Parts: sequence; C-alpha cells; structure tokens
Amino acid sequence: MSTLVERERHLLDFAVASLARRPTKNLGLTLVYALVVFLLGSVMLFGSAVRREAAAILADAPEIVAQNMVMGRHELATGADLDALKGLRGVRRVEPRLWGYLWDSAGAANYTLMVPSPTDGAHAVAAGESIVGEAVARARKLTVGKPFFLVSPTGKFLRTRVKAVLSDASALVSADLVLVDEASFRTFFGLPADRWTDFALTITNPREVSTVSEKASVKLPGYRFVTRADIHRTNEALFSWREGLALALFASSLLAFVILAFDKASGLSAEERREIGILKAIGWETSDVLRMKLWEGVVISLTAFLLGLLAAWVHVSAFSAGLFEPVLKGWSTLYPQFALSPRIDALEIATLALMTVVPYTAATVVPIWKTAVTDPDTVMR
Amino acid sequence: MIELTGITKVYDENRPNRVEAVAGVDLTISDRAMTVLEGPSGSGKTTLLTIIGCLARPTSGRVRLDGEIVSGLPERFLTEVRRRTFGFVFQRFNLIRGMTALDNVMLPAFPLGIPHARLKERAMELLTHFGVAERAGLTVEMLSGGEAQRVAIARALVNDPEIVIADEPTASLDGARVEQFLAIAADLKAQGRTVIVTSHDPRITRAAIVDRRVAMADGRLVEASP
Repeated sequence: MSTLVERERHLLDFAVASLARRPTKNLGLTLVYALVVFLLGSVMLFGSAVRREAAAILADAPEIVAQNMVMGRHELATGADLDALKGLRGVRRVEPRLWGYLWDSAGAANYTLMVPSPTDGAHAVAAGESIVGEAVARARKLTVGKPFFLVSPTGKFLRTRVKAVLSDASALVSADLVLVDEASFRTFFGLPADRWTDFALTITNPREVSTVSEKASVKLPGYRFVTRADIHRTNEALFSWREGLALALFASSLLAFVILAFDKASGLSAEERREIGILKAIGWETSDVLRMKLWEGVVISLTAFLLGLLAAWVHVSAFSAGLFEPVLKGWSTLYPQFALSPRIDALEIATLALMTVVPYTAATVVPIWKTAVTDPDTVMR
Repeated sequence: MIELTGITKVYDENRPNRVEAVAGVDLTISDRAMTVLEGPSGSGKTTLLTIIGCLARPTSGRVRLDGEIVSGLPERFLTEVRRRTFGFVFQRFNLIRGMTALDNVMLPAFPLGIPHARLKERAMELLTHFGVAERAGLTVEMLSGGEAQRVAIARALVNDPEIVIADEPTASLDGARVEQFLAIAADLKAQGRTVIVTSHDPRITRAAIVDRRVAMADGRLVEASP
C-alpha cells in the first residue's frame, strides 16, 4: 500500500515539476479553464442564490391571493366579493389590498404603488408620507425627509415626504415599491371606495390551502386564486429559465475550451515527446506515463476549478454578478441592489465539476494515451 | 548471458523508404565483460543496441536473456525486464532539462515506489561515487559535458542493473573525459556488471579493458573478436 502511495507521490511530484517547466503553455490553459468555470459558476451560484432569496421572501407572502378576472384580464375586486370570501369556511382573514403600477417619466422607471396592510405597523404611513424601495430612492436620489412627487397618467399630483427607505434585505421584491396611505392612493388613481386590487387570504389550517382555494373558486368562479406555492413555482421556473438561457450561451465557450484543451494536449512539442521517450527508455511503463499525465490534468483542472469557483463566488457575493445582471435579474429599469449570499451546495459544486472537469478530461485522455505509447527507442534514433 | 539469434530489424516495411537496419545477426554477449559494438554511422550498431536493451523489438529473430526469450514478451513485462536488468547511458545523455541532477538520477526508480528519503540517499551515493555530489542541486543545463555524462551514468545505475548499455558515450567528450569514462567502465566491470558500448572512437574500441569487439557494417556483423 505504502509503495503505491509513494509511487503516486513520485508521479505527482514529477507532474508538478513538468508543468512548472512549461509555464506559459500551462498557465494559459489554466487561465482559460478558470475563465470557463468562472462563467458557468457565476450563473449557477447567482441563479441558486436568487431562488433561495425569493423563497425566503415568499415565506411572508399571503397563503392565497384572489384576483378578479374579466376576459382573462385582471380587474378590480369588489366589496360584495370581499364579503363572500369572508364567509368562507376555513378562511381566517381576508385582507383587501390596494396596489398598482405607475410609469414615472422623471425616474424613467416603473414603480409599484401600494397601500401597506393595516396590520403592518412597521410600514404604516400617514397622509402625505411615503416609504420607498431602495431602487426608487436610488433613481430619484431620495433620502428620509426629502419631498417625493408623483404624477398620475391623468395628470394628478401626489406630494409626499419620504418617511423611510426599505432595506436591501427585501430588495428582490421591494426595490421598486412606493408605500402611500389609502386615501392618497384612491385619490391619485381615481379609485372608488369599494374597489380593491385583490384580496389576500389567511387560512386557518395551512394544510387546507388547496381545499379552501377550490371552495373559493366555486363561490367566485370569475376569480383567480393564486397560492404561495404557485408563486414559488413561477419564481423557480423564471429564474431557472434565465439561468438555463445563460448556461446555453456559455456552452459555446465550454465547447471552445474543450477544443483548445484537445489541441494543447495533442500538440505536444518535440521536447515533450523526447521526455516521454526518455522516461519509457529508463523503465517507465506506458501506464506510469499515463498516470503522470493524468496527474498533470488533475493539477490543472483542480487549480482552474478552484480559481474559477472562487472568482465566481466573489463575483456573485461582492459584485452581485454584475456581468450577467441584465440576463439574470430581469429586464426592469430598476434593478434590485442587494448582496447575495451564495451557499456551498454540494450538488451544485458537483454539477459544475461535471460540466467542466469531465469535458476537459475527455478532451485530453486520447492525446495523452497517444503520447504515452511513444516507443522508447525514439530517444536512441 | 545475452543470445541473439537471426535478428533483423526493418523500419517502414512495405513502404518505398524501407530500411533494413539489422540483417540476420547472431551474437552472444557474455556476462561481467565489456563488449564494444563498433562500426561507422549507419552500420546498425545503435539499432542492435536498442534490441539488446529491450527498447525495441526485432522484426524477426529471438533475444534470450539468461536463457529466457524476452523478445516476444508483452510490453509491460518487457518494460519490467528493461527496468530491472538494464541501465542506459544515451549518446546525448538525454537528461531531462529543467530538472536537477539529483531528480534526474532518481527518475528511473519513481515507478518502483521506493520511499523518497531512501531513494534520495541512493542517488546521492551514486553522485558522490562519480564525483558530482556538489552539483546535485543544479539543473542539468548548468552541468559541463563530463558532469552530465557522470550524472547520466549515475541515473543508469540507480536501479542497480546487471547490464549497463552506453550508446556512443564519448561522442561529445574531450580526451580527458574519454579516460574518465574508461575508468568508470572498468569500475562497473569490477562490480560484476556487464557493459555493452557502441562506439567508433578507437580510444574506446582499442582500450585494454574491452573484452570483446563486434564490428558491424550495413546491418551485419563483419567481424567479432572471440
């Protein structure tokens, strides 16, 4: 056993020394390899971090959201329907919500205007006050206490003073949010007193969500009932689709790298061939040369993989994956700005290794084998 | 004892550039003696040496080593025979550039899995024996021709082979170094090793320590002293 370990140690020592003797070629290959790992790793780490972030925020979302639908379009919910849902068995509370979108030409961005829940004391706003998301504050250069004006599509003015700016922690869903009081909201959008955007339902027994949703559908057939699980699935699909799109784009860079690796491994210099001939002549078996060359591959791929992964980690956690932001976060003009915390997920790391180390090894194994079978008498000729 | 029977070696067979490097050689090489294969360039002596040293297989004919036929052995076993039995000193020494003299000497023993400390000790003993211990840590590009040859001889001996094969060992050395090589060859013979050398240098072929001279021309034996 110790003989085997000692032999592998000698072969590894030789492989490292051999790589060091050709620094330009091997450093170049390692850097290109690390770049590929960095690209793929950034997309994977970012995608999973965003999905985790969204799932964590969704934990506080309503169990069911009821939306009135007319001809497949979202319509305003009525007071009569609110009463109908309140009488439904299994529903603990129905909270009517007011929210809507507004194009702000001054900030050149879409905002989500919303009336905070009466039960949410932390975000309560009085008339003439507003609480804004971090992206809104950024776009309009707002700080606490500063005046904040909005103009409706019909030309109505809403004049507020910023009470607070929402924290980065919830930026994924609150970046473009503007919280105002109910009276100001209704006046600004010209909304009658018994109309709401939708209803948020709290269920007595959370395991009964689907049953309650079905019963509510029977009672209000014109309504769409969206559960928290539905939103979670949509988020997963959305971010996975974006991640998949980016990975598909980077697949071409992976292919280019595989071709480069094949070319580098097969294009051995005369000096390298001579060395292998010497090793064979002085008593190395083909399998020894093969193992030594595989150790070289392991050193290159491990170094490049760790370098690329580390760079991807820094790129995602410190720079919020700035290079791929538009592809991965969406097409909004107000990108959320928050620090992601990518987590070490063994499955993701294994997947990334599978996507990078396996193609590299596969691309180099044939040229390595062809090299290892070099006739030992070549050094004599 | 090495016995060669009907050895031929043809390169690029069935091609217009076909070359018959060795043609029907029968030869017996005794143990613990120094044998020199002499002849002009292109006479086939190096090719014959590669066949004797199990570096190449003959196109036809048999090589027996201590009575065992080795020419038909599978590659793996042939390598094992080569590693255990032969030590090679190549014409241009063929040390691996960028590595130290010490590492070059240790190289043939790497696949054997000998503990590093023991292997290093053995390599240093050899370098000391050949007077180049103080050059052990230098890369081989820093060595003179004579030093490089002594490092190459140390490398050939690290696995303690019975037979040492040297191909044109003095081709790139001056007169003083030729004498030094002959002294080393005499030392190897005194240790009970078989020494086989190719050379067309009369200072080697006519040296007193040579036990047998085998002359070659056009791939054939033309003269063999008893």
